[in-house]
Amino acid sequence: MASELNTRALQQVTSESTTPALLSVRNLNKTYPDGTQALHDVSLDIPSGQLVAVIGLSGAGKSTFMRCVNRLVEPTSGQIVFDGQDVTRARRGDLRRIRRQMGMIFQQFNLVQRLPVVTNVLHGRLGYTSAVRGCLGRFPQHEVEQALEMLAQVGLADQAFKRCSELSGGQMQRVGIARAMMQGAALILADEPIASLDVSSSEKVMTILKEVATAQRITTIVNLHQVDFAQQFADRVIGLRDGSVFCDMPTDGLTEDLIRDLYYGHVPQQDEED
Amino acid sequence: MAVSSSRSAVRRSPAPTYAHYRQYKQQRVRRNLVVWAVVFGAVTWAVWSSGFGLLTLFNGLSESYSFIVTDALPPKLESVPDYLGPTLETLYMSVVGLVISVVISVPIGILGARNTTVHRVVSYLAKSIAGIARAAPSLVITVFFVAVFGVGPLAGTLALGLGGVGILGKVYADAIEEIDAAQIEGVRSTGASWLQILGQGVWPQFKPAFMTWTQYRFERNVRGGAVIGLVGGGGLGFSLISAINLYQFRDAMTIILMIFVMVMVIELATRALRRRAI
Repeated sequence: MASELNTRALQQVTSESTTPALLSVRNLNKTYPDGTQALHDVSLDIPSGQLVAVIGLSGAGKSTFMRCVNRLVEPTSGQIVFDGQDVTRARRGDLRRIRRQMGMIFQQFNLVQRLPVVTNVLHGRLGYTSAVRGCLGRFPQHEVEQALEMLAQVGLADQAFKRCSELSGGQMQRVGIARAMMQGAALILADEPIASLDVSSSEKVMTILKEVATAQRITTIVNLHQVDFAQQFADRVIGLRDGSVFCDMPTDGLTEDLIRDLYYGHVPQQDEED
Repeated sequence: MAVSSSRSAVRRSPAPTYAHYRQYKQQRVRRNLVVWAVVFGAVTWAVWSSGFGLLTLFNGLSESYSFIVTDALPPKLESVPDYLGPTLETLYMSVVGLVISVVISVPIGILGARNTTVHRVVSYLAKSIAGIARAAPSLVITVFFVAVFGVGPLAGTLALGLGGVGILGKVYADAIEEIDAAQIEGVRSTGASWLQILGQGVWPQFKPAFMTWTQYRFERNVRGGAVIGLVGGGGLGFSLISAINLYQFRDAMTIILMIFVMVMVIELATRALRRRAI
């Protein structure tokens, strides 16, 4: 019955999206050197301006999927096309040009702790800066002003010159969002952005992400643990299980049964639990 | 990230049993046994062949006492101005030697560290260069340079510089390998190039270790620079060996005291500087 639901939901999504997909993934596979098959034949299309939540158990392949999109992880096979460019075949320089159009937000924020907040936001411009100037961290005045403006938008104007290590988790994540926005990206990849935050910080971070997605029409893919947050904020939900797409539908189509199936469903053959 | 859930379709290795545990423990014991046996053997052998004995140590004590009191004391303080020049020379050698080491060691560290290198082979080569520089004792390097360039500060400076590459190249590479990969991933995700990742992701994290080790090497240069003079490297050490060769033991004592003061002053100065820099 689950599969029936899936196909129905899929048709719904594809018929709704009349615009060509911004991100198109075909038969993506990833097997790690230790033999772990993290992704199995994943295919998806994501049109412009959608906020997509990817849900599933830890280990279902959510992080791997996201890192394949900007090739921080090298896919084993398959094709990823972003805005008409073949990501999987891109060579060094092209890959950097593609990456600068995809802002990434991390669970552990991945900010450079010893640098001030504003410099971390300015890192969003590195992809547009010459190698030497970027290396030395010399950014032009209008970019610095833009960075300060971004910080004001995420409510951190007064923290600009503190070291990142002095901020709270929620604040760091907002710096992460500002860095991604600074890239002027067409796509934001958020990998468990709220998994290490408390509820109120999580609300704040997700609200900002939602605002960015709708107001600036930036496509956003969010890996989430919390189904309730996915239901509250996402336009569309993709469920991954054991590295495969288990369901893919508009958020209203997500039923309790489906969630139970995704998280606790179909008991594996070897039943000895450890 | 790896697939690790118990529900994943991935093959699992059999669950460890008590037999595995026993096997693991025995392996550990056996490995430790070998280490201890080697250490014990080496110490026994060294004590035996060096003829080290408390009695010789005791006899030597009284001899050195009479030597110091009758021949080398009191130090000839009026000759201090004569040795100010050589003192400065030792300092110059230390500074220039340090600059040589840092300029060579930073690229070696970056290319040697596995996480910043351009290729595994390059990393191996860079580490080998540092390893070779480290394997040659500094006195041997000095003797070599004295043979090439003649007696004087140039030979000493080059010896200090090359000797520093062995140490700094290795510790720089190690320090870079220990930095947080997540912060690098964050910078890389913006589309940053290799050089930009180095400047904005690696350097801020590497800086404290860089400061500490560079400062340490400077102090070592000052101390080592005094010794290097003994074999012809110039500076205070050269004055010291000259004084000893001329049986001017009170002059020699003066120089030893000056080395002592110089080292102390430099350590205090660098400590104050470091507090300001970090």
